[in-house]
Amino acid sequence: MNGHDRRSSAAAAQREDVATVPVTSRERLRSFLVIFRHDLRTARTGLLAAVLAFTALVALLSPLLKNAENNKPFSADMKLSVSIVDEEDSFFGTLFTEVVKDVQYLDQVHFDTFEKAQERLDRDETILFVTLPPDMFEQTRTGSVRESIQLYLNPRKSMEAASLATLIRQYYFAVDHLYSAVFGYQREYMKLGGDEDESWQQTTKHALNSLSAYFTKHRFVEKGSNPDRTAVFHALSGILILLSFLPALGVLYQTSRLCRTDLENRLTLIAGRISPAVSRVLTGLIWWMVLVFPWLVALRLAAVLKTLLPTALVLAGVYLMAACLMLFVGRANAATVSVYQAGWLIFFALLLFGGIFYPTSLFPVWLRMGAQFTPLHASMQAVFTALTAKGSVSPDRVLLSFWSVPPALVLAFVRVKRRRSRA
Amino acid sequence: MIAEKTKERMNEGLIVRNLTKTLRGTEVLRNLSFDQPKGSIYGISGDNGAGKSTLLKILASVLVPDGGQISYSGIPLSGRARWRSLIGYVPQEIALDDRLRVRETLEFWAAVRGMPASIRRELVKTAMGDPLIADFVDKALRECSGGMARRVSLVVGLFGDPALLLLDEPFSGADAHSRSLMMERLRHLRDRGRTILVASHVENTLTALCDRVLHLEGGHFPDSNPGVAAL
Repeated sequence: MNGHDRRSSAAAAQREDVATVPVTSRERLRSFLVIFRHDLRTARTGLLAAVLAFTALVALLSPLLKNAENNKPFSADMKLSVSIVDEEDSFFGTLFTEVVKDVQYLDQVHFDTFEKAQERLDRDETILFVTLPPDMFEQTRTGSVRESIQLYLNPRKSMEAASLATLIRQYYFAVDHLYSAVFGYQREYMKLGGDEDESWQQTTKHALNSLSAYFTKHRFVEKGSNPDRTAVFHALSGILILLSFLPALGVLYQTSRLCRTDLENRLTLIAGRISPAVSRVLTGLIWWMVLVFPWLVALRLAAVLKTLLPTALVLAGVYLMAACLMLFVGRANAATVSVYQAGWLIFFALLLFGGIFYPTSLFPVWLRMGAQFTPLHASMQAVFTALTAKGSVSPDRVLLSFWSVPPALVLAFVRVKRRRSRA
Repeated sequence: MIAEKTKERMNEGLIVRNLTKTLRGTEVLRNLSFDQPKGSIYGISGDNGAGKSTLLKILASVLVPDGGQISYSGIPLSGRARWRSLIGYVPQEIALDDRLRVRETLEFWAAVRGMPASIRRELVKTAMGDPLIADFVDKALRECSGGMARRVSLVVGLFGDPALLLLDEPFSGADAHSRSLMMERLRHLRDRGRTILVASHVENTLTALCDRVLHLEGGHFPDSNPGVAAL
């Protein structure tokens, strides 16, 4: 027996009473911590790079967001000024100026020459100006509908200007159609030699044709709020949900990479099945913190969010649900490539039906009804509400966003615990 | 009488009875039976797909058998926690994280057993002095040759001084020197009363190492097999 064997035997004798696999809770905890440390260690370079990149991003974004917030671009009660150019001093122009003065969200309406209006726009006194041509409703009399107003937008306030320009165009078409309907009656009346009934029938037909142009526009005007503000918050909510989901794809990668390999067999025989899986989910949670927290902090610094907790909870729920789902998918009995494809497919389907890419209000009604029951829908609504309400979300909304976590947890647990019957 | 029976069962080695396993509709193991006494090295030979790895995976409790009984020292395979504390499994692949150094690999696999730090340190210290790996403990695993990595894999499998050691193609990719060192270590373990089952498709190596070689063919031992004839 050589020296090493003697030492080996002595060591074996010394720990005769010690099991070679973790049995007690303390031993299992020690075993789990070792696996977790190992997983963190393998991810440390990526984590460090992400921390640095996101810290730099926050440092860059915070002042911008803060300035933006100070300028109150998304304020619900924003005040805007416009110029109207009506060089022919038309009857309609005078009436129009009087009407728009009463519009609440318009701070000031200037009645300018073209040059003066241009000057105001350059000095940022107005966000847009509109020119009214002298023959504005000429085309209407001939029966064709054409846009003859000209809109000049302030490029430094493009979002607000575009928003208002859209409204002006809508109003213009509305007036144009009403005008044509009234004019149509008079014209028909004269053409039909004073036959009132026939004139009304023809004019009604014409008015209905005009109205039909608005049938498809209901979604745009449904909420009546500033569409760009909604779009920005929608995009931000989408980014936060997306960043919360991404670490789950790391869980999928790790699970699928190790699934049914000898390395996993070796580890499972000693540490069991649960510890490596939990370690993977916790490592993903650290990734989640690195990816999501800087954004939340940036939004807090910019005063878009006054409180972080509800939003952070909802987003943590998104990660937990996604991580459990990916643990389930990652252990599927299929080729690694197919497992990745399935994982990405689920990822995109959940994002799509959760309303992350497009608001679900754009979906057909039947699809909208179905989308409400997908796991990310409630979370997206909660995060969107948080962003629009300075971070405050009612507890029932937060709870609702967690509905998919328990089923996903059960799926993952059953799949991870199940012993293999196949090689 | 009961005490005598218990003592008798504790002296039993590995007992496999009527083991069957079907994978994707193919019967990989068919009514496989054999006994292996304690303190012996048995070899399982056979061509690719004969069922060697499946047999070892079942014995390692990685796969669930469809039927049959397995026990060692009176402890059945179904008592998984106790069974796993008995066995050391060295899989066919190297199955180690090649980003780690050999020293770190030993530390990880010792620590993952959840032992107290003092025992763990002692275990790692002993393992690092092992002639199988002592020359390259500071080398990164990815820089090790196939033979070196095999030796590390074996040392990791020996952690905890398991009573039943299951080795799946342990010499694959190992050079003559590595093979000789590993065989010497396995003989030593046998002499200390450890039970070792080695699966390999290289019959010469098995003949040189093992006390008995069982030839697996199409998921069972043919009738002429001495391992079966004895049962």
